[in-house]
Amino acid sequence: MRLCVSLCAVLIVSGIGISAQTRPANPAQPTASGNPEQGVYHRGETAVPAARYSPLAAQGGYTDGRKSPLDAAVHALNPHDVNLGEAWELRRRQWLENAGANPYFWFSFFVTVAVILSWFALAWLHNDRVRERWQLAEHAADALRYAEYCKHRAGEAIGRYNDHVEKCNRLIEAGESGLTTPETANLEDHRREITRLAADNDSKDLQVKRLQEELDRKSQELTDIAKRIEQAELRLNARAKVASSVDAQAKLAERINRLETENRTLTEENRRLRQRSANNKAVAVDEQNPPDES
Amino acid sequence: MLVGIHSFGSLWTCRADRDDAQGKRGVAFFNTTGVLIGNAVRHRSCLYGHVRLNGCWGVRPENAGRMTNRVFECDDLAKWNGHRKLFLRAPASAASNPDRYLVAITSALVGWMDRRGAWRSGATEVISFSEANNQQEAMLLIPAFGWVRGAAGTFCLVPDRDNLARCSLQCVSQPR
Repeated sequence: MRLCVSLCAVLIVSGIGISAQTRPANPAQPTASGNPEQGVYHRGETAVPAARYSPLAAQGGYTDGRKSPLDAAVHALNPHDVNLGEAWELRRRQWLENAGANPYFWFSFFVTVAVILSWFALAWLHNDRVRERWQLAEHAADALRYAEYCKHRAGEAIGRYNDHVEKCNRLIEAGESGLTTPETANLEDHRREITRLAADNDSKDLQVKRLQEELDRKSQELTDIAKRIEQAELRLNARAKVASSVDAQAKLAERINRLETENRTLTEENRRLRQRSANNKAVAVDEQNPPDES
Repeated sequence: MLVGIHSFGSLWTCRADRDDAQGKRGVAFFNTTGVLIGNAVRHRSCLYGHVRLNGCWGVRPENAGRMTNRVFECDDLAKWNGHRKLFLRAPASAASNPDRYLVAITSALVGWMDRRGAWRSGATEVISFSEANNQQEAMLLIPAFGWVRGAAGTFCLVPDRDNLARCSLQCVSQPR
């Protein structure tokens, strides 16, 4: 790669130097200024007049002076009838004479082509390197994934091994401490299990007894509370009755007072009526026995 | 986990705690089981473990009885390098219902405990167990109505009806 880069750099430097050599001393004066010593272009031959080989055509052709639509269009596009093909041919010939006869042109041309090719080579090398890096990254990613997979499988294997060792340790501990495992169970273990279950049963019995006591206590408390509530209700009802009786007495007293007042009123009226009737009787007696005039 | 304290083991050790984040220096007390060998209480642990209490809670070995019948917040029983550790972090409300009770029992109380047999309920965890010189002491984490079986019978841990932080060991069955 370094070799290619250095080669391309040398070619570029040489191309720049040579192009500097082929550059004219005065850029304002182009090489096509018409100097014959420097290999510039020459004028071509003089055009042959059309009247020499076709007088009829020179006089206007066989169209009697009329123009076809195509000629009219061409004339509209080119009103001065400039011979563009001749000018193009003239320029092409001048260029070929200047370029083909100038060795510096061909040297610069090949150097330029070499430089451009070196650019392509550089681009190709760069693309190759980029592709290599991508492949390397893909391989690295594959390796990392595989490493992760290996770690996962190793973890599983280690876990299985640890479980196995734990089981072995449990067996060893069972042999030392008498703990019961399915692998070491025997008659003594079953007796031990029975003992454990009996103790569990005793404990559960005690717990049930304790819970039963608490339940009884709660029931008793609930009964007491119900009784107290009932007594409170009775007391409240009695108070309500007393209150209602007081109200009735008040009404009765009010009625008695009202009746007494009415009785007193009636007695007064009766007395007034009696007095009036007595007065009326006395007036009648005086009228029957008038007093003596003497 | 809430742990009610029923009793402590026989052996206390003290260590000046490392500096905490505030730069304060405290004292940590470690309680474990031991048996009387000669004139001194020794470890003689078949199964070693300890209970840690920080001195900032007013704990002193000489007045450890004040810490009984109280409830502490603590982590689960940790097992590290074959040692079992229980750290009583902070006291909890006395009205709280403890999940387990820290109980230290001796062979003088429940009789000889046959560790090869069924000597404790399934939910009971052993913190420390010392055995030597025909003496035994075990420090256990027992749930309510858990049991311990010794030569003197089966003893069941019964929480107090009115104060749940208080509990007692009741003999539920005598050996046949």
